[in-house]
Amino acid sequence: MKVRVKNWSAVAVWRWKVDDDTCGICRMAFDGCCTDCRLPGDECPLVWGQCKHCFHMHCILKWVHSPNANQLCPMCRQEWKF
Amino acid sequence: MSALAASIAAQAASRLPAVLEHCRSIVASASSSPSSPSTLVLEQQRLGAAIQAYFGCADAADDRQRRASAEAVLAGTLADLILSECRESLRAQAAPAFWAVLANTPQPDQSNSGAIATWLAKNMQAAFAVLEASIAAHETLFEAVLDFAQSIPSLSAAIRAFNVNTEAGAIVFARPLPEFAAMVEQFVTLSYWAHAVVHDDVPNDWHKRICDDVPEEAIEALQQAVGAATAAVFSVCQRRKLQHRVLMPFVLSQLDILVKAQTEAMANLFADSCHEAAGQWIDTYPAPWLRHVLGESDECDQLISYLKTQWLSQSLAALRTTELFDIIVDYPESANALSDLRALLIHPQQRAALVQTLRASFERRLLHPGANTPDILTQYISAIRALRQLDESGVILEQVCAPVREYLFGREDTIRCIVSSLVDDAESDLRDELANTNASANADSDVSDTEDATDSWNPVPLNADLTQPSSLRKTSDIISLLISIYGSKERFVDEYRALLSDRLISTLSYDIDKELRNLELLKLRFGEANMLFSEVMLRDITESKRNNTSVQERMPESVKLDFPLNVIILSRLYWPNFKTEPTPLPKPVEDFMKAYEAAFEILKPTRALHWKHSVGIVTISLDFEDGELEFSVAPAMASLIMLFERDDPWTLGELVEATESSTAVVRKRLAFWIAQRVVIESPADTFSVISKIADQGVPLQGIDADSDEEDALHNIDGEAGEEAEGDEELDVTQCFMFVSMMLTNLGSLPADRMLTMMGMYAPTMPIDDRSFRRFLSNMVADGKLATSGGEYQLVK
Ligand SMILES: [Zn+2]
Ligand SMILES: [Zn+2]
Ligand SMILES: [Zn+2]
Repeated sequence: MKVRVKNWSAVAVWRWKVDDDTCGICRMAFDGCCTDCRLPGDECPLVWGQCKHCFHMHCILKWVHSPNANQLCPMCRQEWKF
Repeated sequence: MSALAASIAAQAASRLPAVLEHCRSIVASASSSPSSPSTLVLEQQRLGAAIQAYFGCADAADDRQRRASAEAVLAGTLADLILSECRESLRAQAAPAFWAVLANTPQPDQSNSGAIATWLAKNMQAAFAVLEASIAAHETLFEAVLDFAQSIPSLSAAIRAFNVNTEAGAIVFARPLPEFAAMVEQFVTLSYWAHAVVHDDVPNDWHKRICDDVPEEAIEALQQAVGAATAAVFSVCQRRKLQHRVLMPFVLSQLDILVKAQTEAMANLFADSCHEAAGQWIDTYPAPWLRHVLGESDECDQLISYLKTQWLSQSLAALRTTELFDIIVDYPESANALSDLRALLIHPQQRAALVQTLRASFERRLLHPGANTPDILTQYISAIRALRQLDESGVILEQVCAPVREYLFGREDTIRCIVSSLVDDAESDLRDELANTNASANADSDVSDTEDATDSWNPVPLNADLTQPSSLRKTSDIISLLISIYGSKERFVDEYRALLSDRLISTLSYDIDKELRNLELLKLRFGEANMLFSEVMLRDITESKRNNTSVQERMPESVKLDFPLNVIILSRLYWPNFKTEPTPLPKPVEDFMKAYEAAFEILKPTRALHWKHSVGIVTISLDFEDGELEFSVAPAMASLIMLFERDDPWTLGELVEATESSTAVVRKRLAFWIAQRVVIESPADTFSVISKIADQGVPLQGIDADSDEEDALHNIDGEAGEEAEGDEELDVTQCFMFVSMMLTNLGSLPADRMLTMMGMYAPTMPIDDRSFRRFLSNMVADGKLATSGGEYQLVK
């Protein structure tokens, strides 16, 4: 007997390349999305600051623009730079 | 005073024999029976004694009391004498004369029904004519007696209560001929025939029975003869108040037959309104007949009214009640039958009986392992609609369907069935319902919406079980009612997610237009937030299609496969958990996947791919010397069979090692290929692949883990000869239908449980343990069933 494959449909999942599971700001899973978004992935991307901390992009943007955040990373209190 | 009394007594003594003699002659002239003087002599002696007593005390002239009592005794004696004389005369003459007519005319040849009818009609007519004559003669006699008695007031009072008709009826019919009841019964039947044949309304096959052997041209004559005879007999009965004594029991049993026949004729006629037709039928046929038989009277009118409002309508109500399950099956074509039943349900106990009967029908016909969940759902949905028409309070629906809901709740595939009928291509009630009732979506969360302006207000009936939550009675749309089986939308939404996941993974096609349309409908009903997961899942498929195209373009030549390998990339938090088993894949596939991963990360640098090796679908072709077999299987199944390309045979231990799986998992996977008759286990725990498709023809014995495997294998040859015989006894198609239903509903079952269930739900299917097991083995060999751990399941 010989086995001939005619078609192979495979399944994979994607994950962000990030050490933590959840966003330090919204506490939602990174592989999900921030509280303002509906769809994960490209629609709700992650960003890494120069301090290496990572957040949902929407979360950190909201954060750094809030009056009392003083443009600081909420985790390490260093100045937030993309 | 004493002189007057003496003269009365003397008058009585002298006139009585003459009066009685006169009476006798009247009676004698009306009948042929000779008179018997002995009683008269005896009574005369008694009378003489009474007279003597009276005169004895008359001598003691001043003793009034004694004289009064002697006078009373005299009057009493006279009355007794007169009445007993009348009764005696009825007994001695009227009764024998009547019965003689019936007894002495020989019945004609039994086989000739027309002749029997004619004979019976003539005979009855003659007998009742004789009866009428003798009662009339006794009436004349009694009038003469009354006339005489007027001279003695106390005597007149004593005999005035005597009623010749009543006495005659009691005496003549005290000892009827043994065959009289049958004669009257048939006579009454004949009378309905003669009455109804004019109107072409002869129920059952009476017409045939009564005049089958009567020539067509003689039927009219027979009908007229019977008509004349019945008219004569009934008029005697009416005049002499004999209806109750002679006719009534047979009239009632006749009506009973008619009502039953009429009810039977209405069985299964769900499309027409039978209630009204039944009333018209009574007015046209039985009512005029009853007036003909019993005469115009209040009693007759009451009987007709009872027939209409109670008898036939209750009979029809009982019929429709027993048919309700089928009425529900036919709904809405059976809407008229439901309107009938609705109008006929008058008494609370009828409703209670209806609930009980219908619950029993549901249990017997639907709530058993042999029934398909979709069928149960269909009937439940039909019941919701039908029972609402029957009773808009929803009380009956609630009472009848509580066990149905409970049962559906207990079935594993119920939610899945509901969901798939909501979203499947096939036309389904629920899908229509989903499309139609979206306007009222989420009504259950909005109190003001539940008031439907078009619904007329109806109070909840008094017998409603108010301890039950009324939500069911109020909930208006069917989908909400189905969802409420589970108490919450969330379980439903979860189930939809599981179903959608299965559908997407098992087809693994990027074409999801239909699913997107379904999602839009479901969003309207369940709310966008509840459907978010599903939305992401569908988005994943669309995105995978785009990414897959880009990634494939970046794949290095070195890993290219000679078959397409497409990938679906999922957002892991939005899909149900996949059961993952270690699944080593062929080296080229693994290499391809590694390269795919790398290419993906070029496209999406901040994201990584993680493979779900055991999930997916592989289409393979197994090429044999004499042809090929194609299968679409899980990757693990494909990998397993690929091992046999390299080596053959394999022992169970070797396979466990090669696949890095547990023994149980390997056995399960092997069971699939064995069921497909591609792999053979021989001897135990050693597996090899067939070399030619032609080899599949060898009947394999299913391996029942309960029994010794060696035994099972040993039996292959031993039983081969008996198989043909066994197959003849067993309806294989029917049997397989039943088995597959059970297994669809219950997953997997051991042979003996299936056998027990078949005994309960398909008792007409003769099947014994031995032939059933052989049947199962054959099904396993045919690849229709798989077996593991002593339990059988369907091969899908
Ligand atoms: Zn966040
Ligand atoms: Zn976001
Ligand atoms: Zn930081």
